[in-house]
Amino acid sequence: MKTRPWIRAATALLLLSISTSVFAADAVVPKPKNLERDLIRRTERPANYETPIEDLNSLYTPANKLFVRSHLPNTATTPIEKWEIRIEGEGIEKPMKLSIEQLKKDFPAVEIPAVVMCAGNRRSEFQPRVTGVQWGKGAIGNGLWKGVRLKDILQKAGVKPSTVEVAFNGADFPSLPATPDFIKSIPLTRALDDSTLLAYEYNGAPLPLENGYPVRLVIPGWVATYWVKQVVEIHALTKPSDNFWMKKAYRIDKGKFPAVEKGFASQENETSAPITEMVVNSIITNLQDGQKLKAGREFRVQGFAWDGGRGIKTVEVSTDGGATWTDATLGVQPGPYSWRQFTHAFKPAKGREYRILARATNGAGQTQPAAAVANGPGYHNNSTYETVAVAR
Amino acid sequence: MKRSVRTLWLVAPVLSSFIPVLPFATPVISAAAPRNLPPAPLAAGEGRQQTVAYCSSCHSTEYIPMNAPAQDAAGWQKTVTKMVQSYGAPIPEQDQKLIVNYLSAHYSGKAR
Repeated sequence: MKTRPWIRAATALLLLSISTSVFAADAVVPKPKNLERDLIRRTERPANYETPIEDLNSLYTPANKLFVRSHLPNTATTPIEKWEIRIEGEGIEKPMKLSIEQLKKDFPAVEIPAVVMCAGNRRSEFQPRVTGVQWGKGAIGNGLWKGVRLKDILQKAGVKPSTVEVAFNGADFPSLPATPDFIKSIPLTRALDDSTLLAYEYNGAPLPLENGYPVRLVIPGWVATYWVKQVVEIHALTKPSDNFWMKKAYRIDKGKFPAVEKGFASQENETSAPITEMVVNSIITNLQDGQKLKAGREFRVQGFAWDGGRGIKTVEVSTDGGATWTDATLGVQPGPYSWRQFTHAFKPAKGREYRILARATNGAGQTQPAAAVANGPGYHNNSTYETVAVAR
Repeated sequence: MKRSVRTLWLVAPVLSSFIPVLPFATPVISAAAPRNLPPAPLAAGEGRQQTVAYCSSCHSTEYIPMNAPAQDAAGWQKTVTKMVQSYGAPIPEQDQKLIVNYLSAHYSGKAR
């Protein structure tokens, strides 16, 4: 089918006008990421996209490659100069409203390197399979989060000691009025922790729109469900929240993860506790199953390990399916909440098959199990896993 | 081979600008890894129309095949009930049944 030249010209003009309007909007809202090009789509709406593991091969994950997890299908596009964060609730003496400008001007800035990870990362590896977004290993990233301490804001607003939890609501919104808005709360102790931030920058640039622009909660060490994006409301509660997202979702059965089953007593019940800290874990970033290695030439296994804030003490690598283990060489640990990179070099012999695994141990001596701990929602998968490579 | 793939990426936007009729179709299915294929249409069958209509008011229907390996009839019943009771999906009871039957018939991949 031939297209008439004037139709082409008109279409080109139309496209040009669309692209200029997108650029014109840059001043207030960042240009959307190219999710389809840079990430692996799990679902398009709400946007759930993970990072290909080979793009996790740097200390800090580039913003365009950072995974995207959304609970609600609609992202707010309020211009930054009109953004307002309300600090209120029964537990607040002096309710306040803060603009982004005030946030940056009135409070000291802090920058913390920290892992952001979806609680369901590696969910698709559970056997038997469990429902939920079928994440591979890429619902994780590590970067520099810059913002202000939540503590400083809460203290300025006169947070009362009767406060039990602090709840956060984002400007993102559901498609149906009856759908519960995504609101998460954290215990007051965690809200007042020095590491808990209201962050407005990632790796030295404004947050990407899909990662919470213009401001999101950052709770280093805790799974990302609490890292509420596009924060507009901070609510100090004197009674535990009974929101759907606290009472029904993101909970773990008691007794299954004793190392991290703590820190949030006000939301515990007889059988379950809210998920909080991340468990010790590791990922190899430069190997795919069935990969061919060059015989006789040194191959360097690369990856990273992380936990909920004790720091990584050792990473061991096995090339024989877990029969023997060797300590890997560790990279820097820029802070307790950052991941730590590791490498392990070996010379593959011709025709041999290598079954390669990594196993991390944190500062508290906790390590990765050989099999994932089964749980209904498919959280905390930190089992060691095997990647098979052949040398030839 | 890697290099040629990369080169293709560089020229793909230029090429696509010469095909104004298909400006959106070209870059999505690119040669660069990872490949995101367009979502496959849901299987034909009774209840498909209601499933697409109700489910897509809040989320893309990719959620359905994505969860098939973990689902069976009882699982889909639970899911639909959750969508109605917890997320407020306004699905009349008769259509709920149709949807559960449709999902169970076409997307039950749970190992027995």
